[in-house]
Amino acid sequence: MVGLPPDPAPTPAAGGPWLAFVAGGQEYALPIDALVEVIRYRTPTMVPGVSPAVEGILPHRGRMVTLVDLRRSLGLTPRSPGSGARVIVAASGGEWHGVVVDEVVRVVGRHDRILDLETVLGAIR
Amino acid sequence: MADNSGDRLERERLERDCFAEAEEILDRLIAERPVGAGRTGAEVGSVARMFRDVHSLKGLAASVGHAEVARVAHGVEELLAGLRQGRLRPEGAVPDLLDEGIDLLGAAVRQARLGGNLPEGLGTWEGRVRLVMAGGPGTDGESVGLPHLPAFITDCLSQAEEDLVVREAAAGREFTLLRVAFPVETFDPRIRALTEGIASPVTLIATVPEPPAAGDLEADGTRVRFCLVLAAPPGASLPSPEIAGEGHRFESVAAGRGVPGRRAEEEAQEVRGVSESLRVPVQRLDEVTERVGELSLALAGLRRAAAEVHGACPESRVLREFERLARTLSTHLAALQRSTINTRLMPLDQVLGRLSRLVARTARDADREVEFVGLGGETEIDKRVMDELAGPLVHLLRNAVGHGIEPPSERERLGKRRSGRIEVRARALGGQVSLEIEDDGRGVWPPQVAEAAARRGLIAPGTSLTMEEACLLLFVPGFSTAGSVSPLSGRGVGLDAVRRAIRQLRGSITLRSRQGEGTTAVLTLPISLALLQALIVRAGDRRFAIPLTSIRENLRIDPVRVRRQDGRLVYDHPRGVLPLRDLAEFGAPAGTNPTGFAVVAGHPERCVGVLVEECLGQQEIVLRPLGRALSEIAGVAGATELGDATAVLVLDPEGLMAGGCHGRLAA
Repeated sequence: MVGLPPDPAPTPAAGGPWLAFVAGGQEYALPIDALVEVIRYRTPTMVPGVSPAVEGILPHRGRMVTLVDLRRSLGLTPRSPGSGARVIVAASGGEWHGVVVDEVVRVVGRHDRILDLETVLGAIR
Repeated sequence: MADNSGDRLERERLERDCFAEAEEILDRLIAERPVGAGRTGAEVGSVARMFRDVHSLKGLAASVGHAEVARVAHGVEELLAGLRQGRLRPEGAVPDLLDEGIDLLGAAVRQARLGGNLPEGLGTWEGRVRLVMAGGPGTDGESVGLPHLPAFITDCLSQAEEDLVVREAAAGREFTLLRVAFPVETFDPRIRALTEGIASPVTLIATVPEPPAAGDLEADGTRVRFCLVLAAPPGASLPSPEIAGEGHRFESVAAGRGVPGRRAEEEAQEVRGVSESLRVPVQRLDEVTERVGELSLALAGLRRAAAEVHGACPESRVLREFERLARTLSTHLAALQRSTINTRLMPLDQVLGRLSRLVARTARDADREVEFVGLGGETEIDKRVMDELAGPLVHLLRNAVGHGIEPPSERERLGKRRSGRIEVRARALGGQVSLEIEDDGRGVWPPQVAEAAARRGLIAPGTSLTMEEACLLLFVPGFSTAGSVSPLSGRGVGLDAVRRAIRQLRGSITLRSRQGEGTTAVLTLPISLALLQALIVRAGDRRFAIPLTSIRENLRIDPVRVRRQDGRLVYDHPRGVLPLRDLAEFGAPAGTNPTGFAVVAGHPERCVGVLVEECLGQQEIVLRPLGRALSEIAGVAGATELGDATAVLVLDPEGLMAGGCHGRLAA
């Protein structure tokens, strides 16, 4: 677990390390400096009238975390229900978001498919 | 008509404002202090800012009669003016003097607030400022090490004597106090003999009567004590003991930069701050709140686990004991949560003080005469509510001054008092704060409102409006009766913006007016944004929280009275037709054949019945904001969590009325 960082500045693409994970059979990575922690997926509370990429909200450490389904925000096939997904909790703009992924792999020093957190979250704004 | 006690209250309020503002200015000064340890010199912008701050502090202090604060502020202002105009350079003694000045300013503010003595070293500091301003010693090169003289001496020194202290110190003289005690009958000739005997190279700076110390055996009135301040080059011979008489004492005085002679107690006082309060970054409070939230969660988890074990062995004494302890813990946690939320509450004083100045300024600009009265400044409200409230309040007050209060001549013609009156009243009402802003100006003119509304196509031309209708129309987006854009008519925002801002705070606003007599805006706001009493309801397998403050009635549904009107479900309530809303969009079952209850929420004029199957009970909840991406959902105020690690939506009936999830306040 990493402590809550200050609002992340746009991170230079060169700076690692990254957290590698799998979504829809494909491995991706997110810069680790904005990440708060990785938690087990719990069913969130659905919120009406929002982007389909938003799965809902989940209380975590006294905050409401907005869960974003990475598969949907990347336009991949939806996850099958009951699969043991993970939530990567990340801080952005003073809020916590949870990126729902299939499985978290490891921390890596380099990666071919680096996602930008802001772009991922941009899908819900 | 203000009576004496009103005057006193007004003065006390002014003083409080003054101190609050002074403290803020001091904080900024200390933060900006451009010439601290680094001595890199002042940047121009920061000097200009400090100058403005000190200048307003000076005015503020003078206006409430704190001459000492004004006096120190004046000195600091001089230095800053010198720096700003380039007459002084941020080097040599100047940085020290500025530093010390800011310290002295703090000491003077504390003295004014808490009573006590004048800050020590004020006299010498002023002397040095004068010297520096006149280009005397200390203007360049090392700053002068000044003697740390006791307060009773510095308080008595004349300006000439202070200057002499600085000059002698600059010349490298050492300072000695000669303390003597003479019998009352003979002290006069003996003092004269003593002082006349002092000759070059020793300089007598002053002879100061010494106050008898507490518990002093000689304070019986038979002897008089004096203290002579002497300056001499190192090694010079001081007056002989014979002349000094029995019981005399020489004391050398330590010299050094900085404000001389501060006692530890004063230093401690300075660190302690003026008010008995602590400034804490809001984020830190949030962290505490967060931890408390986690504790509650952990406890809920423990209790769930215990409940499972209980299923297996229902007779366990240990479990019963556990449950008892868990209940106690839960009570304490709830109290702790409330306390942490209470730490965010602040009295409205500060806002009222600022509003009073705003009204004065606005009135001046608009050539109005307005008397401002703020009542209930001790009412507490959440810091964030207070911050967010500033915008709407400014708008309402500008309206009151610019559009409400008539020009003095007009008022006289109308037989009103020449100067208008604006009263802001605050009071706590349960979990809410009520704020009333009343002016005795023109009031709302329904025919004028009707005309303007007709021009905008809001109502048919020729419609006549009641006062209530007119007051409601004023909140319609884009509505403004002002014919022209004056500097006072706001910045393109009308009452609709005010209402939107108030709603975001989960508050409400209504207008009351009497034509020709004035207008009152009534604001109701939650004391805290975080904590509220809510009714927990169930619809399908979903739970929701509805803030108790907006609930008017809990209605058991009589299916016979439910019907459709224009495709929408309504209920024939004895008092009129009540629109019903189901929570289908929120994941609850659609209410085609509603059973159970309708929770009626909203104003008396405008209500909605929220269909629920069951009311689970009332409890205090912590409202958590949703992320920005979700913040605009009409009908949802936020979410909370009831101890089982799932989120429960907190409904906002105002938003539900405005047309549901997709309606977002139809313009």
